[in-house]
Amino acid sequence: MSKRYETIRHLGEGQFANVYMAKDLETGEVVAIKKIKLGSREEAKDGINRTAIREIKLLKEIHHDNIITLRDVIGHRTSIQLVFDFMDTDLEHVVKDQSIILSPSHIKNITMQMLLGMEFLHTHWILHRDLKPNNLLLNNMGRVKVTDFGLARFFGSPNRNYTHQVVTRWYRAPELLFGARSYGVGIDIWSIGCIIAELLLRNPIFPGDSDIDQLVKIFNVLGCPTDESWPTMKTMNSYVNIKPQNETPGLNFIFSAAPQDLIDLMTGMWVFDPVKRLTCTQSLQMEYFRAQPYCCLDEELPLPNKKPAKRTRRLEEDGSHPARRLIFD
Amino acid sequence: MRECRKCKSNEYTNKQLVMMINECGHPLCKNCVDNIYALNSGNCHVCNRLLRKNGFREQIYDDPLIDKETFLRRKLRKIYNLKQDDFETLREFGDYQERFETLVYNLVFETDVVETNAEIQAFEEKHKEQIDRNKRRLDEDQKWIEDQLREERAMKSRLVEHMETDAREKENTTAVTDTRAIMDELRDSNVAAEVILDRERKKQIEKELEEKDEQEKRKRRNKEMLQTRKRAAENMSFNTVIRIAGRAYVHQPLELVINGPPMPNPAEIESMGYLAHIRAASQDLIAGGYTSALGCSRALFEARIDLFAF
Amino acid sequence: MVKNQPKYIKKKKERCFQFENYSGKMMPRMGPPSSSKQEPTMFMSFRNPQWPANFINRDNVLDYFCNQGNVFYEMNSCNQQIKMQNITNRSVDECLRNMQGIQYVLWYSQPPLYIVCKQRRNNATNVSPIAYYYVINGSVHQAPDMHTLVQSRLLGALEPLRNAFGEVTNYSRYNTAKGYYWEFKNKPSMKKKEEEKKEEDERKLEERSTNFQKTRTLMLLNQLFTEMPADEALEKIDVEEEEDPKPEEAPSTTSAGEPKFAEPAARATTK
Repeated sequence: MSKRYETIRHLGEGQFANVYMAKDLETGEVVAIKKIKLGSREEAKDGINRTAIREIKLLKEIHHDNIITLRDVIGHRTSIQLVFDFMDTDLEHVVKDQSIILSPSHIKNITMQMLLGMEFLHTHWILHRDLKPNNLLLNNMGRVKVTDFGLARFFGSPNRNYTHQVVTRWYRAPELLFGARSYGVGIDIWSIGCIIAELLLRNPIFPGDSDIDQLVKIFNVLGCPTDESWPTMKTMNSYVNIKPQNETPGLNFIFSAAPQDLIDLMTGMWVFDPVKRLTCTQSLQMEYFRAQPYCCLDEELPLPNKKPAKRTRRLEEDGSHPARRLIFD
Repeated sequence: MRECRKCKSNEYTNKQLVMMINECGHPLCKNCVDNIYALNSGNCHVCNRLLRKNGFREQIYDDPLIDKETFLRRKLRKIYNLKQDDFETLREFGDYQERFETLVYNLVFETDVVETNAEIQAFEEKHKEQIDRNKRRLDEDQKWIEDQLREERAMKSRLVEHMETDAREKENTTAVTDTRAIMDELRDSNVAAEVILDRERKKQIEKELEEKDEQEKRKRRNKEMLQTRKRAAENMSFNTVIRIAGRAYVHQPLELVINGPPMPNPAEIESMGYLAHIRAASQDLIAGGYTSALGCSRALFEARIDLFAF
Repeated sequence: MVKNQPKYIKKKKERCFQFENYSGKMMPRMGPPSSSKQEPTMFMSFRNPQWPANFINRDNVLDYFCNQGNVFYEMNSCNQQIKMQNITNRSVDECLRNMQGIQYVLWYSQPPLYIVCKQRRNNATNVSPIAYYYVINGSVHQAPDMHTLVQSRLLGALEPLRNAFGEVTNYSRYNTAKGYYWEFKNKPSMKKKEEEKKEEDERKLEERSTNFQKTRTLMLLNQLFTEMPADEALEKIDVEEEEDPKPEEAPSTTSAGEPKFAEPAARATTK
């Protein structure tokens, strides 16, 4: 580690990296340091891991409140370390913590922060391609930040074929499951829809075991796409015809306590045809964000093992507070 | 609460209780009066004075003393009815009035009744003539009251009349005086007749409009008053007010700073032929969410970004 | 003249603008949402035929109540939030304590009767009740709130009173010497008529609720009073009113009328 940062403890290990909590000796702030693993010989062929390069390349350019800030990159011999803002927890932990009840205004706040961050990415022609609760970090100030740009890339270029094996399966959009060669912002929007649903239900809404099962799970809730609702679907590589299920229960039944404007928002995010799906900007202009109950204050967002009551900003020097696991990959 | 001392009935037990009182000032209820004075005269149940049935009147004031006093006053006034001009000086008249008050006091509180009555009798005999004459005369006060009443009646009729003429005039004057003024002006001034007439017409229309406005204003004011009252009634509830944290969020689409010539908007990309210069997206690309417009705007973006930097 | 014209136009414009502004601002405030909705619920009831009535107990009555078909149940209440969020390892009560907003809690239970309270929780220790519902034998009714009850009672009491005053003013006379006094030309007949009328009104008032309802609400009210001790004054008034509005009303018409008239006259004379 460089002299500037003093490691406090190991936070977690991902597929490509180890994450440490550290103290920035220059500013006194607590930061997270992601130490990229060397990985296999194949991956390290070009010198360093490709995902790390992607992440550095994109994040160096991007500065937004709802996107993780890459503070520093430290190259040290063969290892490379990325210095990020320290975040207390992620949405997956929030969702799984049964001691937390997410109120409608909490959910509205999280949704809005998520969409603002994603809108920023999309207007800069960046697709995240791996949105899931795990990749949405939350700090003790109630700020939600999108992280893990290992799969992110620019979009809108017709020449390149993109892999459809992106996005964790449960949050994968139907066009990816059908093997689309090219895609747009729709895949991120679909994932956001799934995350909102997960905030509401506290369980993944489409927990498929396989790609086919994933489609079945989706169609069980939303019904099957038809030639009218998605005229181009049959042109995709791995299109499979799935027999329509009998009656779907309807979103109003599944999200029984959700207001109609939120149901409308999710319906718009889950339009099968990605061309007709909402964009981030359109989503943010939906009635949902203009209606009561309004967003809560950021500080009111609950953290796991913490009461959502008033929290004063914890001193960053205080290394003794229970830090939550930080997962990057 | 009024209560009959004799039969102990009171307003609560007998809602139609009527109390009667005679010159001695000891009230009795009507029933008792009817019973005791069936023979037209009897003794007071308190002071044993001999009373006549027709001397009983309905008790008006709660305090019987006041009833007694008014009764005595009325009786004495028939004798002591001298007016100010019956005396030579104001002082004498004052002494006379003071004496009268003393007599009333004596009778009401029954002090020196015998002497008092004797004095009254003496007075009556002494001034018999004057008394008889004054019976038909009104004193200054009574005259004044009569005058006032007459005056009031006259005022009222005058007012009504005035109001009527006013209303009538209003109808006429605007038309009449205005036409006269206009005619004068038409005769005297050098301005073209059309101009004057035109101006006057405008004035008239304006006035009408103003009147209409005024009416509308009044109507609206009334309506508003009604509404606010109604709203106040509706808002009167025992529920606590819903607390609002934050407020409605109105989203402004993000502007991308490209440091280059402005981007055409999506509609322009479609309509201005931008799409003709790029390969049309195939069906399977569209299926995945990629459209020609998307590729086109990306290309346009790439072409513009930081163009001004060079 | 010419000067006046633009001034006038300006004035008119201003006013129009104000009016628009006014209507635009005020419309959404017209009528609080809760009160306008509450009106019809007083005559509604809910019954779930799939649940046998004798199957309901104090532990599951809330589940019975929190049903999508129940008109009294708000789907965006905290109870439904908890249900939707699949919070299973904690008791509903405990969850509700940490939430804010509309909640339904079991208030009282005595087997065939359960009282469910709809409340707005402001924080962990402070709630403001909004409505009470009673579940009797599987059917859910809304308990009339104090406001409605008192309002209806007051209306019932005031209307005959108003009529009485209207009638009675016809008989008041004034005389400088006597002050105000009554003059009944044909006393007995008029009195009777008035009394008859009053009795009729009272009978109507009574018919509004059945005996069962009256005793039921009385019991519930008494229960509420013991559970939520209010200010003493409030309690007294309500109890009196609940028990019998008649005796209070009858003397008040006469006693209220007389001193009012007698007073100024007496003062005038003592002067």
